[in-house]
Amino acid sequence: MKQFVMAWCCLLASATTAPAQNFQIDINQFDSWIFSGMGDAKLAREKLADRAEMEIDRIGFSTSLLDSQIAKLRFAAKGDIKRFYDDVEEAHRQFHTMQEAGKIGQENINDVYQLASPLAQRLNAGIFDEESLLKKVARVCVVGEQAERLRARQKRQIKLQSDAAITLFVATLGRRLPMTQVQRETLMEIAMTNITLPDPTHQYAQYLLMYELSELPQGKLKEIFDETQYQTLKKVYTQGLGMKANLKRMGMLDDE
Amino acid sequence: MLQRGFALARVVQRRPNWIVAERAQPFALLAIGWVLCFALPGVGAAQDDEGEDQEVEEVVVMHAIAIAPAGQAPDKDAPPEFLKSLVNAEISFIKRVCEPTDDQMKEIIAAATQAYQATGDIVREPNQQFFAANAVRMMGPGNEQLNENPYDRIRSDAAKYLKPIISKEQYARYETESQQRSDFERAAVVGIIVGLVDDKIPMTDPQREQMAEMLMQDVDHRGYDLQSIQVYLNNSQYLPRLPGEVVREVFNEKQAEAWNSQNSNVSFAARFNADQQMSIDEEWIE
Repeated sequence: MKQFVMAWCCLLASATTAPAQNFQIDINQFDSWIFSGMGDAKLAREKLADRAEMEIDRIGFSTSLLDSQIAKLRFAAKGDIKRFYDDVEEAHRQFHTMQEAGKIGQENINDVYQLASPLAQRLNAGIFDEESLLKKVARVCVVGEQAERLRARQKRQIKLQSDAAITLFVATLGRRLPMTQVQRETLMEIAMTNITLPDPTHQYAQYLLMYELSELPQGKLKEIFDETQYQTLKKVYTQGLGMKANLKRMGMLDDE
Repeated sequence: MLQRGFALARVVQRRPNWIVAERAQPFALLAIGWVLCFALPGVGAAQDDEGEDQEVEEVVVMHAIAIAPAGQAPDKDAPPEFLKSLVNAEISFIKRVCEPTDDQMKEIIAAATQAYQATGDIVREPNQQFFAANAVRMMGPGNEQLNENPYDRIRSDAAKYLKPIISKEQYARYETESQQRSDFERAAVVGIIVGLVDDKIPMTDPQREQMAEMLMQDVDHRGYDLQSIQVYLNNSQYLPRLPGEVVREVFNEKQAEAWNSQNSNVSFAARFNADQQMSIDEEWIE
């Protein structure tokens, strides 16, 4: 991103001094938009291989794995890495096509960026997500008692993350809506009993919590807070309700 | 006068607004360049707190650059307007915790107003701005760099002006409640840090617990705060800095190696923006 900003500024700045002069983006610049979060393409490949080993370790924390299972998981992870670099290659092809057509100038910078941006986002979010080959193979090759232990750990992890997100939400809320320790504890108890976020690390998790506040038993909330505090709480969840359509669109809320 | 208006944004997940500003003003471009003077290359150095010579990458994204007509420079001693709602919220907290009498309340408001008037020094002089590796700089809503966490300032002021006004029993209640609030906020910050690290570097349950325990003793000194830590939630490729002791004692060799390979030498800036509309509707000081 930083490189993109730099390039963009330099390009625009040069355009102000020499309007007639066109500029070009080269393939190294293009790659830096994709890989800047991990150094460069080569470093990224090494880091992805390390990350794969760690994800296999993560599974191993729940249940001890056989060598044959580890071999399958490594093979799957290699597939994920290859799939990612295949997509990078495809982006390169499209870049070169645009380059040959003379379409990588100032007026096309957004189009070129749109080629790199999804790849950078995938890389930064982590390519070994639930849809990855690694996770799919893990679900298939870890069976029986092993699978139960794995599922139990995953469930515990999500609950931990969800509780951390709720704690963050209530602590942040406390800065707008000052509350006593008893009020905070009671609110935490109600929230933790009634809310488990499906994806607590999602960028919009805090908005989902604002929405979930409206779904909590309002009678109990009125018992905790005085009228002025409760009205503040209502303002917060009204904002959450306003996000409902977006939350649904992002798959964070089910359609009724 | 050129007024530089840049703000932190979600760097990766969201397409920056300025990308579409293809026909930007020349002065605006110069201003962007000025901001980017802070951007230095920095890759792959260890990110515990012992690497003094680390290179730093400043992650700053501008939403917009505004060119304002020449006008009067802001009074550097004037209290920042955005602190007012924080002071009001603290008085609301005091009201609920200490249950002061009407007379005490009048004195509290007068003392709080006086303390607020003296908060102009929280804004750092433009020529004293700094950034450091893996640190989160605190900014006001006008992008002014702050010397300290505004919540800490308002709370420590309150602890000082309250003591002579209220009874010992009331003050003890304030101290206890204030401490519990800080502990809760600290636990929230630590929970987020441990979760972020675990997401990238899987840890066992005992490792997570050990990390949380160690950070609870240390996190205040890192400058992390409820608001500032959230920049990492929105920039998931970066991880917050960990104390060297935590890295050494919690991680095994493989994890430590992965930690050191994280490209996290960045300096974030978190903007404290008091959202008055969403705050409690009690205006004690005007």
